[in-house]
Amino acid sequence: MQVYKLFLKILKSVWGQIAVYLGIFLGIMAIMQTQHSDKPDAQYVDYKLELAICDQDQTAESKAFVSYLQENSRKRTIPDFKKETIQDELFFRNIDAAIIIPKGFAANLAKGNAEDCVDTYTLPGLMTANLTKNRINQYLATAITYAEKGHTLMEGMDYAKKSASIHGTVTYMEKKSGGRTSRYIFFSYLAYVLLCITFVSGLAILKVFHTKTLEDRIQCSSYPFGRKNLEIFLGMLTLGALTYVAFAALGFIYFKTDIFTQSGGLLLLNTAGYMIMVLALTYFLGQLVDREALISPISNIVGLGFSFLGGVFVPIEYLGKTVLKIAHFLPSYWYVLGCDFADHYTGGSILPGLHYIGIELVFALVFYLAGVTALKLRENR
Amino acid sequence: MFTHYLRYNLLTMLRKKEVIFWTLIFPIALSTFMFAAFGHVNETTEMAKPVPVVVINEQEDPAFTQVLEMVSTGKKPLLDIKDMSESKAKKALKDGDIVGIYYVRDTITLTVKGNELKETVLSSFLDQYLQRRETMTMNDVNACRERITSHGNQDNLISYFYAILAMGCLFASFNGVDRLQGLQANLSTLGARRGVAPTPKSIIIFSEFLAGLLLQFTVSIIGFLYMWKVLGIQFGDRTLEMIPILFLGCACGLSLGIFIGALKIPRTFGGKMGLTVSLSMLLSVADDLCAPNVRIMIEHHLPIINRLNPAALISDAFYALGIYETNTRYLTNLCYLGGITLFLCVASYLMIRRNRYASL
Repeated sequence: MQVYKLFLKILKSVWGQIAVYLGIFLGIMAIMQTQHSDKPDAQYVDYKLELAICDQDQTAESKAFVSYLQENSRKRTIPDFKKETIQDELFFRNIDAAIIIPKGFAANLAKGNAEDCVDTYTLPGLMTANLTKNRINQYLATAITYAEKGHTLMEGMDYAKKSASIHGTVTYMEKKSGGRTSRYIFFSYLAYVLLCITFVSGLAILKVFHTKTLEDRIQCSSYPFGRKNLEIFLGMLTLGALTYVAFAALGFIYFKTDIFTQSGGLLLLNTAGYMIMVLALTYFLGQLVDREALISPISNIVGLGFSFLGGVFVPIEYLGKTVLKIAHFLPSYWYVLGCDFADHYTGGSILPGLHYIGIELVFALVFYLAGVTALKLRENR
Repeated sequence: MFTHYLRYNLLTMLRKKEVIFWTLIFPIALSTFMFAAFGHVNETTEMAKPVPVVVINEQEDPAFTQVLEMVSTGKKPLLDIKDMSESKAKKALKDGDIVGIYYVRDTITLTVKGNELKETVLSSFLDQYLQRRETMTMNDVNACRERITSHGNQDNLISYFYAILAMGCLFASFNGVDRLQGLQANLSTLGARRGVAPTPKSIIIFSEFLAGLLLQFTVSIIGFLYMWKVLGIQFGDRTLEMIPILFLGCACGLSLGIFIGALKIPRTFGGKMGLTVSLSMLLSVADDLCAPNVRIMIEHHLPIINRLNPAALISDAFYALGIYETNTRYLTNLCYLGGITLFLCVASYLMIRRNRYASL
């Protein structure tokens, strides 16, 4: 098992690079954990507008208005309400709108004059801008209607606030929302990390085996050609198994018993299918790479290409039509579909999930055959 | 002598395929992937366009029908009402062809698939209809005095492309490390040969720097033109003023590489390259390369970092040109970039001047 032992020895030497990708993955997960829930929402909740509000009027009416706005949105604090600051906050989507309630707001309303009584800073043409204005207009229109009927403005505002609590019934078409959980994010991002880790380690090892002097030495030794390849194959399997087990264990640490559900099982199965594909692709590229300098560029281009175009970094529904057509030829696309299916699986047929895994395995077979062909061609040369 | 050195330095650099890959091919590939993946995401997710919806009338509600007709016609319709049967509507909702289904029964309900902005538009419309029906509010007011805040491209995803350009500039540091490797007698045989050559060191150093700057600037311009003309990224009207940013950015990246190359630790070329890669990636990540809000988050909590991060300064200069009408912020960023470049060059010079070696 000399070749296999050598494989493991080289694998040990690239541990540092593996650790870098592991660190990147854990960093991404740490960010994602703060942005995604653990479970999809069972009940519909509206998108909460992010509003920065500055009340310059400081009257009971303006305070009631602020209270209404804050009840239906997320309050955002910004450093100041200068034009430049607001522009920055809007551009980076830290806020959806900045609202300034000018002095004289309550006095104007009391006269029944609600036109242009609030200064709003929004990004024109966005849905958030329209939602913000609609909510303000609706509230003030109701308050004024009551005031015109003989109530005081404050009473009108109270009625407006009460009426704002009337909501239509909104339900999800399925048991839970189509939203993405942190478990889904974890497994879908594995598409990038598994590829990078296997590339930087697997390609580096295969490159060593393709060093001319080493290859010549093995060839003129008593070691059979078939045995050498079998041991390299075993080494690749070990690399795949180690990586897979490491990330499955990480999944368990993150999601605990959630991994041992039917849905978690499907996610693990899907990842196993993808891992096999990644190993086959590494094997294929390993036959082509003859310089160490090529490993990093190939890892990055293939890894990022698969991830951006396959729907790993951006949800598939946001991809353009042309990109989506290209994505069908990428295994990462089918992997992401598999993750989506598994994450939302609550029962019933698992055939669609198996269908996605099957496609990943077909890709694996194609890459493996391409690798064997490249190897034969190289041997003949 | 100087032109001879300049020419051969340029030729040497052009043959360094790894440097060309990281400074030219990689930013181009990354921008292509990003553009393909989310070049039009905001158009789909943020822009106010009529939201496709189906209305299933199981009961008659003439008032709701009338309101629906009002909001689905006119100059800026809110809804795009599709006519289809319930089963087809359910399939369309599942496939994402429509955003929701209104069921008109005793009460009006809405069925959706997710809870993004478009669904909120539908639910807000339903809420407002129910509230107005309840309160009999007939008034329409326009209470919001819109303050037009800016010109230029307001798509925040453009900050990714600014970050890629900044990253390309910082990757000039690879070239800087490589250049200094060939200058120091204790690091390479070429450096040792040059050390004993009669050519003045100033000519060698200046030609190296100029050649590196010329190459990196050309590469950055190619990357910029690719994004602007081929991908069609909207950089705004002031594209000519973006050239000084790229020039100073490349100078800063190059001088960063020279500075790292001049450091006593790490001693090996691999170690110096490792440090350069890590530092340039770290600075790029702090400049929105991986997520769009990192730079502003740093600005809120530790603004000094953004003043010292060349990548953030480059991106902010692009941003200022794209959004603001005044030049103050743009020029401030350029001054900071120039200051950092000068500091790094002087520090590197102080570190490598009059080096003597006991043995080589």
